Amino acid sequence: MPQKTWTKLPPWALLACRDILRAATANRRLVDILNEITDIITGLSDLDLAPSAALYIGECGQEGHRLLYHRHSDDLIFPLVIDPENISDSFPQGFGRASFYPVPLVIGEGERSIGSALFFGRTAKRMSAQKQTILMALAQEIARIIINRGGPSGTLIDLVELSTDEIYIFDPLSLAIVRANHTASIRTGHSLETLSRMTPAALKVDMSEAAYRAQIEPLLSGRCTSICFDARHRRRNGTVYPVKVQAWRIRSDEGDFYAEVAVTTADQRKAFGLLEQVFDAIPGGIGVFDKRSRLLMANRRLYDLMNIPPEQFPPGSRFEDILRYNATRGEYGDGNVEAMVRERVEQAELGLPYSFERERASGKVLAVRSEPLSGGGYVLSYTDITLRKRAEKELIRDRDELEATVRQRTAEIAAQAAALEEALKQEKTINAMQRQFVAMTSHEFRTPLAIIDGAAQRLMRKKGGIEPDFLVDKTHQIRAAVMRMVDLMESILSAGRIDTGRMELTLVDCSLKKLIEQAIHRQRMFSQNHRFQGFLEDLPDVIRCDALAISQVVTNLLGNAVKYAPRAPDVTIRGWREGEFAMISVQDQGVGIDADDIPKLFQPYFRARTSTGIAGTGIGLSLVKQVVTLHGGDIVLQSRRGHGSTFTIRLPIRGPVTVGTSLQLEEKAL
Amino acid sequence: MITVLCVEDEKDVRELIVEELEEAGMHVLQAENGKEGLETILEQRPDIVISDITMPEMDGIAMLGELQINYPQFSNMPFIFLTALADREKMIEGLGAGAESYLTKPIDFDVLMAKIHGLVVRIENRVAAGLEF
Repeated sequence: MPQKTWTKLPPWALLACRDILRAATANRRLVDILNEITDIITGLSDLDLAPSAALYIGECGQEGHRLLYHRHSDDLIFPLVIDPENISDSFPQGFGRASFYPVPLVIGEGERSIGSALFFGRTAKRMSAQKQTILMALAQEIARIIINRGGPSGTLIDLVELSTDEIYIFDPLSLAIVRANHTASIRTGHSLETLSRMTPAALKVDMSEAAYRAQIEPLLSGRCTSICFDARHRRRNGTVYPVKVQAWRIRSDEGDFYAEVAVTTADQRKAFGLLEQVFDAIPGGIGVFDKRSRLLMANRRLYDLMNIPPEQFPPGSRFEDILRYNATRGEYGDGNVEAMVRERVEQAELGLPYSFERERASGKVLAVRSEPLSGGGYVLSYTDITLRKRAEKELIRDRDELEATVRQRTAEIAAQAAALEEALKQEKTINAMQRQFVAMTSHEFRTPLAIIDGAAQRLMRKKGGIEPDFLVDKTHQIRAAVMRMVDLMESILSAGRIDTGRMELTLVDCSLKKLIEQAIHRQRMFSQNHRFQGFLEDLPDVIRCDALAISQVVTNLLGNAVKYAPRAPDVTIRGWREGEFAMISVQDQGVGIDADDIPKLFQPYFRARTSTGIAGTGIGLSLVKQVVTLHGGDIVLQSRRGHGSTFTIRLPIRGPVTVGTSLQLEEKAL
Repeated sequence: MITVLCVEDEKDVRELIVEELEEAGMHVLQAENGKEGLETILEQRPDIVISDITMPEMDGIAMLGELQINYPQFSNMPFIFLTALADREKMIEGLGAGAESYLTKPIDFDVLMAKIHGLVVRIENRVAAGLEF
């Protein structure tokens, strides 16, 4: 490269070149040098390059350029071999999604190219021709460094380092690995230090050291320089991948050494690399099983979620062993372990997709899903849905609570509404009864008032002088009317006292017979059309009662017998004794009472339907009932519409048992 | 001579009214309830009816109703209610049934007799003019 070309370079290119030279000291590993150089070049802001880069080197006897070194970001996976004559065709459409720059690796102008370097623009916009020239000049420096790595073995070691295949150089006697490349470390997951304590045989699945020795025996005995065989490598995490093994005996000036190159085909490598990335990126656990239910591959998360030790169940393990391990620990509940294992294996091997949710003993909830593979086998996936389930449960519980609350409140409101309606109805009934009471009471007062006032008017209007008989007649009418009003007031006041609970009995010993006879006598005066017959001989001589109240009761019953029997003049009053009780009955032949009115008859203000057209307040019988009850007695009624009524009262001869007395008795009993 | 029917279940009240009417020179018929009153009207064709409302068997308003519906030939007969039911609703009901007047107890005999005299004059004028009452 002519010196003057360099003088034309801008200062940043010169600085980059100086840094490249500084990085390329002889005692550094080539891979480290290349890492640093690529960083320098792609880091030049004027070139605006992406961090990805790759170096392809032509090898003798091989078509195309092989990938020597690559540094890729994220999603770029470089092809292993490219056609140097037509580089862009080796890359899929849109590779890198930006402009890309293949630069030939040459030492100087006119020299043969040893390979190509690939750089990528950060955007689709292509850089200027001048900048491309500078990029080519910088690539020349890389070519020079690769070529100038000291000595053939040095280059060989570098190539081993940079190979994208696993390369192990091992001691033929002990089989110990003396050197492994970076790729081997990445592929197997073991550190270089760990690998240096292993043998190639130890990396193989199902291959003992003796078997390995047997495999490479032709090599050791010098019968050939390379042999091939298929094997499977086990990764540190237990997963397994197939490899084509090439074992070499390489002669060199420094003596023969033995190397093993484990090649995964490009597709396999790509697939496995992708699959591994995909597996590890999945948050759930994934396990791939073959058609004989052996584990082919699993990610770490599967072991976590199934809660099984990875070292105990590496790839190749049988699904039923995993199930048995879990069943024995009680993960599937109580039951026959073998039956539970068999059931699950059969289910898995059916080749049908299925899914279920399982709550583990720890409370963790797993969603398990099985998808069959086209070539037999299946993929099991485990997802931890504990949080979701918990949220669901809470949601359901909240909903249920809410529903219950709503139901309860609705019921409460309905009950309140019903109670309110009932109260309202009751109030309406009471209101209606009270209105009727007021109307009837006013009527009841107006009638005697009419008699008094009428008699007074008659006395004033009497023409031609008042005769003594007339005066006596009017006076009688007035007095009878006044008596009626007094009785009426008395009964209303009594009703009021009972309603407010202020009625007190004044108990005296009295002759019930005399009391009833007096009442009959009074009633005869008012009701001259009626015939009263009394049969009172069998009554006890004396009973203890409130004489005034009982007199009111009898008067009321007699009055009713007259009032509600305008066409039937016979009223029969009987009195007798039944044990400790005095009995009184009043019988008429009047209008009677409908059967369904009888239970309501003693309610205040209630008036039977048969009373239509007959004046009354509706308080008389309620008063009778209250007085009798206060005396510790009771009243019963036999009646039928149109067939008269018989009221029978039962009163204790010794008077009511007072509350105070009963309390004293109870205390004594205690 | 004018005939008046007095329908009243209270004997004392009825007596007072009958006395007053007889003293005024009228022929008075008596009935104790609506049913009796209706029978008396049909048999004796009084000129004027004075009736209580609250009575057993048949009340005054029912009696007037029965008369209006089944015996239209009596529909012009003056009918006076004399009752202790002083509330407005009852008065409307009584007048609506076809009563001439609605008087309440206690009885004001001056008002009652003025009402009767007014009716008597009307009846006598119609009879003199040769009209059916």
